[in-house]
Amino acid sequence: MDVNGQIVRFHLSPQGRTALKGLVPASGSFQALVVETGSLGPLVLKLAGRVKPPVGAVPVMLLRWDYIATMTYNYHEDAPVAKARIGFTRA
Amino acid sequence: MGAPDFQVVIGESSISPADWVRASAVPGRGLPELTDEQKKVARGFKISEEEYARAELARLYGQERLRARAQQLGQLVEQMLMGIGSEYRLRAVTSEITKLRWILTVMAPEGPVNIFLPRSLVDDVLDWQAREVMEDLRSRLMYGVGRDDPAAKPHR
Repeated sequence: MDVNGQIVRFHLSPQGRTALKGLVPASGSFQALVVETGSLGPLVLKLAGRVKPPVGAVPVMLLRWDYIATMTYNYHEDAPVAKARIGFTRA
Repeated sequence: MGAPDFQVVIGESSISPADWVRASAVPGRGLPELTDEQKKVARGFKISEEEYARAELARLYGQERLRARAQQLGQLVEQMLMGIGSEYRLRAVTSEITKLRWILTVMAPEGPVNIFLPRSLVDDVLDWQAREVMEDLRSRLMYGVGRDDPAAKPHR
């Protein structure tokens, strides 16, 4: 499962809440787009409410894995693909 | 050019930073109306309806972008299949982005055949159309429909 390119809701650990004070809401969870995932943690683009589109580069933030208590997102199951029939066929 | 003769199936969206920024700039009245089910999910996750609707809009933008890429890929594959044999028809292009792959369903005389393509190959084909990636795609098609030349197996 790859969460890159997904909007994910992050629930921070107490350590994360302290380390990211001022960068994330003081309480509760927040949602962000996962731009990339590396060994240190996901790189996220966090935008809240209505924003003016930035020109060119967008600011991303690294969320270390140990700062995250859990993350949730809406999983939409992929559609099944066609399968060839198996068994006997009429010649 | 007429409407494509194949089906496009988009599973999970892949949202780009541009989709997310675009959705974030839309005023509240331009956001999609949530269904009762979505409102229930938003309440369950303690997300405001506006925030949920904005994420939903970004997902729709992502789907729109993937659908355009699927059409582009399908048209390219149709042309390649014509060169491989007139008995092969592209039936569907399916994206499985969370599994990092695309699936082509080709109708062959013996029935439908699914051909799996890594997302990175499709990105390279659509964005660069470099000769080696186009040859890789063609080899996968030939291998998938059972017309493989032993010297032309996919090299990824």
